[in-house]
Amino acid sequence: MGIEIDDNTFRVTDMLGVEDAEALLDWLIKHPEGTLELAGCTHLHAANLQVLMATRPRICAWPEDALLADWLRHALNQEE
Amino acid sequence: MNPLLDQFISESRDAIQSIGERLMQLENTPDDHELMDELFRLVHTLKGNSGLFDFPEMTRVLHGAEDLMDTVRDGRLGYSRSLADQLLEAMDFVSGLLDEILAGGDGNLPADAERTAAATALTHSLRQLITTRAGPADPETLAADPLTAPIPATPSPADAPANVTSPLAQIPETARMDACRRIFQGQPCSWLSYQPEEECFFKGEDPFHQITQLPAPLWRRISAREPWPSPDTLDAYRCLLHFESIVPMDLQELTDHFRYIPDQVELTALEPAMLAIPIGDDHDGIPTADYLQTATAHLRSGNHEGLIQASRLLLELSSPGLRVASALRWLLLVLETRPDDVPLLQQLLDNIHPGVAVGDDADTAIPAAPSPPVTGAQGMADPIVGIIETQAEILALNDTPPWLSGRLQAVAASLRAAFTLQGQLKRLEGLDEALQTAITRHTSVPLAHWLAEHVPASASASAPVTEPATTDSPAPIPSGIAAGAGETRKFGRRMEDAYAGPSAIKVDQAKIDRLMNLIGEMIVAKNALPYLAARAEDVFGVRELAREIKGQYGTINRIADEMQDAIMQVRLLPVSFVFQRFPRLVRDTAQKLGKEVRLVLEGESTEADKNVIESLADPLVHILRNSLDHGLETPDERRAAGKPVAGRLAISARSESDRVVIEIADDGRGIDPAMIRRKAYEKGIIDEQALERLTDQEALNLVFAPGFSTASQVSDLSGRGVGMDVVRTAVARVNGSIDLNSRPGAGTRLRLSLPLSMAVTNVMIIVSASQRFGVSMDAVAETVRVAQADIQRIKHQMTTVLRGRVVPLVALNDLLALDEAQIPNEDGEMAVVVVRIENDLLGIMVDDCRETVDIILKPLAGFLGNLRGYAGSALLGDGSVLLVLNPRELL
Repeated sequence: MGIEIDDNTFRVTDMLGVEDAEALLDWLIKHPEGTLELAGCTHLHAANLQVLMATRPRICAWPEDALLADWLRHALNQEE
Repeated sequence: MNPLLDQFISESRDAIQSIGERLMQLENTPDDHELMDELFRLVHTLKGNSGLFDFPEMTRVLHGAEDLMDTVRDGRLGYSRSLADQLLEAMDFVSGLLDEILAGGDGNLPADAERTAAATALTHSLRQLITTRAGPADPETLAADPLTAPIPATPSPADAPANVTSPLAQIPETARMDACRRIFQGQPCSWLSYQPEEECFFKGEDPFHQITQLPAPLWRRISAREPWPSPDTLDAYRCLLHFESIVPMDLQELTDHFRYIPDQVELTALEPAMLAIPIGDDHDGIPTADYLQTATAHLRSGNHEGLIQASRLLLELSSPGLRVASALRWLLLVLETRPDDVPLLQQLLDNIHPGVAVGDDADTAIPAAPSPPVTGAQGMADPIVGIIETQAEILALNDTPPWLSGRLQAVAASLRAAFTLQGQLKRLEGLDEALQTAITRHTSVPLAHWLAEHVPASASASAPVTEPATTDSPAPIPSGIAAGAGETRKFGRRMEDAYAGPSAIKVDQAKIDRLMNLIGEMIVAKNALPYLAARAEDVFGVRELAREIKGQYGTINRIADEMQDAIMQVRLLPVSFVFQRFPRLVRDTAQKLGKEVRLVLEGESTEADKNVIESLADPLVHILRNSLDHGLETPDERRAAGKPVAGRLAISARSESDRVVIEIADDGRGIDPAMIRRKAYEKGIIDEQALERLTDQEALNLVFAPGFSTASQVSDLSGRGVGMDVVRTAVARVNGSIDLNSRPGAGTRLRLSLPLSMAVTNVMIIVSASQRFGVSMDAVAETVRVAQADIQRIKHQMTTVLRGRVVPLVALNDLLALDEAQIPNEDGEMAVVVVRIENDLLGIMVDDCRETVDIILKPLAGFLGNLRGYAGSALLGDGSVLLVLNPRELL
């Protein structure tokens, strides 16, 4: 459980497991303007990916892992 | 290999065996629900167990089988022969996998694309049975299931499962060119489309992890299979993701990577020709005609420079957004890297032809690609599709009844009405002409052609009819059923799995063998006590002690005997162990030969030692095949001979004192002794004199002669030239015997007689050249003393007359190549052991005959194993080794 929440920021410091998806979704519903900080994220389970894709939150920091960041950018921005 | 896996393998084998049996029983009583439940439970348990290990192929196939059985059990699908065939095939596959796992030794099953493909195909055909048969039975439930309904809201046509070319066309040109360059450089690239199951998260899968484990893709897209719902209604655990990418990996690696879920991914090895799809706006006002002429000429003459220049020129002239420009860019790319790929270049040039619509070039680019069914059934309501398909079926009938023209007119009228109702009047072009041609030529072919041309999708209707609702997306439906069934099953599981605790325990054979060896040693040790008693009396002169030792020996002897008996009981197996595979064998073989056979098994519970039973397996299979292939006639021949059409093959087993008798009888054509004589003579097994002298029974026994095979034609079932002599040798190896009876036209009966147990052998000890040997008491007919005067020589062969019968004599020392003469006793008499070999008697002269003892016969092992003439060795009570002779092999 690598999650830290302060005020309006949801910080992922580790990996986001399958059971975190529910928490993430809840938080995003309650904080529609919230920001996600994924710099420390090493991997996130596909369920979380779905949540992100469906809610399109603001992301202030992308994961440091280039491969993962690439995938997330593609998934969320669909830049081609 | 770990014990859990060990147990899994042995249990699985049992389960597979039982499944086979149940299927056979079901063939006779297809409505037996108890059997059906039992069958389901077996498959279910097997599948559950396989899930504990890393054998995805096995689990997948079993899962398919389980789903199928579930449908059958619920009565949604009837039992049928093809179903049995499918299930048996699946079980054979699983059994093959078990063999592979066992052969691997380390409990792993290395990935193998071929195996994965086989598993997928097998699962698919199992599921096919469910959809094709269960589908029409209750289409409502299928259609009502939200999981199975086709999803119409998918934004991109990339979901059309069969057509991988259309998604490729959507990939930006730069990415495709990148991939193409890599392929030219020798880096294989593959197309991946991965749609995880909706409930995959509950199975512990992480599709995103699967994807990120792959090397960075050249192009990727992550989409949803339906528009994302609003965050409030989003179910985070219903997977809607769809990954598409071009991965720089070859197909094999990628298949391995996804080997657990091959049904959720679509993988294609990319070829340049698939990628080179020009895209862009249509062009006008660009002078392509001139260019094409020059370019084609350059291409033909192999002038690459000229082609490049001309292409560059045209590229500069055209706006980069045009399709022409795109085609030219591709052309230049190919010219730079692979100028020799003329077909590809030509294909690109063809794309520049004016007036080619974007929708068409996918087809021209890849001729092999299946054309999307745009004009097909999709534009119409289902009932109408049904009508049209029915017409296609009617047209596909290849009979020509007198009312054919009426039928044709009716078909045409139905089609006309169907199309008119759909408002597709222009499709009716040519229908009247086709109808006229059909009526004049008195065949339905022209009309069928017309229908196939005008309604391409309905052409599929001439193949076995599939449920219209399923044709759009066949893949999700089985999983839907599986999910539905899986849910109900979860609740019922406890009840189904709770069968009574077993009253028998399973013990590894090695443990029993060890126990038996120990008891054998104890018997040997026990046998040492009489020697000890004799020594106490003779050497130490303590008669009292000797008597007490003897008393103790009596007690130990009794206990040892009982122990031996008990362990023998443990080792006893019912003959059904061997018999149980016969129904399947007979069924398959008979089917292959086109014969009808009724197999009758009797006395399956008769027991014998495990080794005896096991040694029976191969000979019996051989005998059965012989009976089926050569013995029983085809149904026509039987009818002509006035016999029932189905042949009868009876296998019975029974105990006769200390032997087991197994009889295999058929009511086939029997064996003709005259033919055997002729064959044997032709093959040089007997000479001309023997030809006349032999009785019919003796002639029949010739089938056991080495090198004799009665089949005039070698079939793939029997008659590989090994013949019955192999059978006889195998039976003789366990001290068994075999007789053959046959009446031409009435059938053949083979009788196998085998000892109950081979563990303890009663041997007679004989002495020759001051060494001790054993001869099995089974072989000894009698022992006699023959005065030297009574031994006559007939042509170098010593003989004597015993009770009016001439018995040939041989000296054991000669047989063993010992350079000593046999010693007669004080009265000048020779000790002779008369042994029975087959049905002949032979006298073996020895120096002396001693007592008989029970021994545990051990076969000679290692280098000594090649020594012929010895049945084995045994330890005697005084610690010495006794070699036991095998008279048959000595000769």
